[in-house]
Parts: sequence; C-alpha cells; structure tokens
Amino acid sequence: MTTSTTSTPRTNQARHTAFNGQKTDYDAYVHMANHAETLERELAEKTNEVARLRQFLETAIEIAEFLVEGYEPLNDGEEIRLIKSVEELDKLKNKL
Amino acid sequence: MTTSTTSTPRTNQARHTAFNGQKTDYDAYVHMANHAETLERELAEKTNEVERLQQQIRNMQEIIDDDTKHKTELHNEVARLRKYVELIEIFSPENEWSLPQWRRLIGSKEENEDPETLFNLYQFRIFTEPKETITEKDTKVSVNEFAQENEVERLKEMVMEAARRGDEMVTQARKAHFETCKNAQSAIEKLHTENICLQELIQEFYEWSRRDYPTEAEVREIMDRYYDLLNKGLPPNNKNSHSTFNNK
Repeated sequence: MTTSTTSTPRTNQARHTAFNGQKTDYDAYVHMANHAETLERELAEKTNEVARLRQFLETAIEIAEFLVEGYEPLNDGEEIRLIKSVEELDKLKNKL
Repeated sequence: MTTSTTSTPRTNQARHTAFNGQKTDYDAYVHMANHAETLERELAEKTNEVERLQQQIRNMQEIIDDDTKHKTELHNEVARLRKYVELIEIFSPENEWSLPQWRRLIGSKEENEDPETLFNLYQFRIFTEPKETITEKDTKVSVNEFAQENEVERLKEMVMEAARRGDEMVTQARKAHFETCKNAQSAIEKLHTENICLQELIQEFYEWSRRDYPTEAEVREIMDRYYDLLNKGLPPNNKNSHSTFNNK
C-alpha cells in the first residue's frame, strides 16, 4: 500500500532540477510532467512483471501440489497443462 | 524495458487537470509534482512486490527440487530392489537350480562352475548393503512417499526371503555335488581294482602262452591278437597299449 510517508527521492531530485535549471514556472511544469511520464512507464513495466511473476508462482505451487499429492493418474488435459507448467518453470529458473 | 511509445494515460489525465483546473503555471507544476510523487510511491511498492515474488518462486523451486530428488532416490531404490527380486526368483523351487541362466545372472562365466564359487558369487551379488537414502526420513514426506517406502520394505523382505530360499537350494546343491563326488570316487576305485585284475590276467595269459609257444615272436603275435580283441569297442584314450604289458 502506498503511504504519504514513503520517500520519493527521484521526484525530490526532479523538483530540485526544475527550480534550479528551468527559466519559468511553465518550464518547471514541463520538466515535472516528463518526469511523471517516465515514472508511469516504469510503473507499467513493473506491473507487467508482477503479473508475470504471479503466474510463475501459481505454476510453481501447482507443480508442488502435484508432487505432494502423488502420482495420481492424470487425464490428457491435466497432463498437457502440467508439462507446460514444468516448461514454464524451467524457463523462469533460467531467468531468476 | 521502458520506451517512449508506451502510453501514459494517468500523466495525460494529470496534464489535462493541471491546465484546466489550476490558476497559474506554478499551480500546474505543483499538481504535476504531486502526481509524480504518487507514481514514484506506487513504483517503489511494485519493486518490493517483484522482489517478494521472486523470493517466493525461488523457495518453491527449492521445495520442488528437494521433493523431486527424494522421489527419484526412492524410485531408483525400488528399481534396484526389483532387479534383485527378479534375480532371486531364479532360486525359487519351481526353477531348476542347475539351469545356466541364473548362473549367468549372478556373474558365473563357466558352464560348470563349482557350487562353492557359485555360492560366493550369489552372496556377493545379493547381500550388498542398501543405500542410506532408503532409511532417510524427509520432513516433507507425502502419502505417496510412504507408499514408496512401504514398497521398498516389501521388496527388501522379498529379497531376504528369496535369499533364504536360495541359501537352502545352494546347500542342497552342494550336498548333491559331494554325494556325486563320493560315488565317482568309489566308481574309480572299483575300476582301479578291475584294472589290476585285468593286468594280472594278461600276465597270466602271457605266461600260459610262453608254455605253448616256443619262440618270443610267436608269443608276441598271440599277444598282439589278444590286445586287438581287447581294444575293440573301448574308447581310444582308454585303450591298453603294449607299454603297460610287463614283458618278461
């Protein structure tokens, strides 16, 4: 959860740059707007990464559950899903 | 990777609000700075979440690896014991102990290996120490692992039972072998006695011939005929030769 006490060093730096380096208030506003755009793009990227990692974690949990439950016979769909999950987890292992 | 083409709807909205709702450029700047702060805080939160998720995934991966390793060890142990069971099945009373296939299985290279060597081979192959991993108790043991460990115990019992049976069979076989040797020994002794009797008869026959035939050449001719008759029907390596004849 975001709180007002969380420090914002990059925005503080942008404020400093805006007041010291820009000629007018409008220039300072433009500088801050560009900074906000950069932050929003990084935020979008992180959001995607979180979604991807959540999916990987679900996959890992699924595999762990399969191992704990034992080698029960699987139907075709389950088996294909499990094989894909293991492949995904292997890919993730290389990325981590 | 961030790119300049990625849309920024929230900042666009903030721009719109700044120009329409604020009185001065400075107010617009303050509005945008607050917006940037909010974004930076959200970004920090997402970064922490990414770290947390990566750690969780690493933990799960570790659990899966451990579990898989343990199960693989159990599978291998079951497979190893199964091999022994198949091997020991040969010793069952339904099978002839003398069949060559079980000899080959326990490592005998000779068709007529003596029972003692076979028994040593059998002991060497069967009574190997089981791996420690079979008795290791994993804290994350599952129902399936219990089933596998029970299977291992069951197979071990089967191996020991079969080994006991094999032991009995080999003991019987050794006993039979000693009996055969004993019989063979008495047969050899009997043949030896018969051979002595035969030599004595030949000598007697020679002496008797000497009385009836005046010359040595005539006696030798008679003896040769006699040997020819004697050697007929005997195997070549057992045929009497003239060298055994005690020529006086």
